[in-house]
Amino acid sequence: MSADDDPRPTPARSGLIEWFERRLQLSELFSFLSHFGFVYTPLDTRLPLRELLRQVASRPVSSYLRWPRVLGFATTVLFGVMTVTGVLLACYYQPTPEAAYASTRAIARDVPIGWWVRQVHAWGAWLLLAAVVARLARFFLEGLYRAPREILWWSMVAMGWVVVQLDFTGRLLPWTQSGYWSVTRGLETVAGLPLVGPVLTWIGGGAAVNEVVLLRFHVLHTMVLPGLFMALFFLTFATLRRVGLTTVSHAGGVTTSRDHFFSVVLLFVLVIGVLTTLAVALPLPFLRAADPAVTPKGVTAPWYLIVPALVRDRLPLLWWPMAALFVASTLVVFFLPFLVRGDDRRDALVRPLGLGLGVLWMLLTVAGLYLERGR
Amino acid sequence: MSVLNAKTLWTWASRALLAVSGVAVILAVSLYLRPRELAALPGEEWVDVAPLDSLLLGEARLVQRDARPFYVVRVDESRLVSVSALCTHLRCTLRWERSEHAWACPCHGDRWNLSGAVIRGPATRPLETHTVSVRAGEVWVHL
Repeated sequence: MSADDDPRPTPARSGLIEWFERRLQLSELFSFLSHFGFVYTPLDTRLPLRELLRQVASRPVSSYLRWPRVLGFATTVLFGVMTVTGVLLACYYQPTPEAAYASTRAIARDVPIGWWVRQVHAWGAWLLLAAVVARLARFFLEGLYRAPREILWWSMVAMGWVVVQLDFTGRLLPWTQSGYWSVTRGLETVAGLPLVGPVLTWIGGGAAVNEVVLLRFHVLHTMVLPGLFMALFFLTFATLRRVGLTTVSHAGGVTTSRDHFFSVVLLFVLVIGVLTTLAVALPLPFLRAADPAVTPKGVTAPWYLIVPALVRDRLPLLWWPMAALFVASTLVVFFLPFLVRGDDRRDALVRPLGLGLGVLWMLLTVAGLYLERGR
Repeated sequence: MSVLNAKTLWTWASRALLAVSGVAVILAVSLYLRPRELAALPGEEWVDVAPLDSLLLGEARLVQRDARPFYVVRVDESRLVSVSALCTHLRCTLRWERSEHAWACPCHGDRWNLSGAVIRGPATRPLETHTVSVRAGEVWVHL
């Protein structure tokens, strides 16, 4: 191809960007990277990067960081914080039953700033879970699973699964007595589920917690699940560029990319501030090392598994129907866009039903935590 | 940029803030990542090694203690010596040369004498020595 056929305008300037431009597909690269949380409008990747950036900057964007849309961005920012602190923790953590507790204790006690890294990672897990669940609830209540947002809904439901599994695998890693027994009780419940139980215990390394399961959980927690989460971010932004942001709940509001970027930085500072405040004011406990021979009192399954765990322990007759319902309902949630299919009457039925079931589940969880506390 | 107005002041203030926080983050991360011996992190403790009677004269016993392996050697009837089993050069596990009464590194041929002083390099630091105590016929080592 001669230079005359090249449809792109010749770059007027010859700076560093142009030097790279002649050697790299910078615009494609920018488009890929901005799929992880920065640009949610279509990009013309044939343009040179400078021009592309100018176009993005000049285009008015509907203000993204407004309640309740801030939940999505909070998820991105929290995931970034979790990745950085997680990499720092992985520099000292040793995933064997002999060394897991001592190495975590060393981070929390002996390494400078280690306490902050561990506390922020632990509190960040709660906030990330809360952000993802709240976002899922918001999308459900506003009916944002309907066409053309099916993929948005699926990636969000999948994010919910992944973040719960990140929480579950992360509980075991410090090898504390409470974490060990909480995961043991959770695994008993998961292993008993029809269909998914055998698959999950196969992936997790077995139904009884031992050194194989610890290593497997470590790999899942630090490599597989974060990788999946990143892929879901990409999917979310890839479909957002096609279908656009939601227009249901926000009362307009137009801003520029520059202001948007400023809000992102502000949100980041806010998240770090909240996490540090929590780490200092309400530090999460780090108590005794795991003792597989002694079941402590008052240790429950993780809160998201407490209802199945309770039914399994106390109402064994109801276990099979409830477990089947549990598995079926996750499938129903996933296939919701197909079940409703733009039918307004079904849609009007689905939302109060889902809301009712969600509230019922929460009430049962609270009751379960209360019942299990005394054991 | 000859006039210092509010806008340039604000620009430079925010750049300075960004620079300061960047430096602070780099400092904090380097402090956190400062290399240290992972094995040295867990706190001090006394380890029960074995009954005194089970240690033969001239025998060196390797004790694998998490990431801190160490040797206990019974030199003669009344003397017990304990040193770290990790080479101070690149942390290979040492060997006890009974005929020479010396510790040897299989990786680069370093040598230490019984009490841990360097005889031959490339290692330059002496071996870490541990206090040994015999109580009620049991050998204890202070890590």
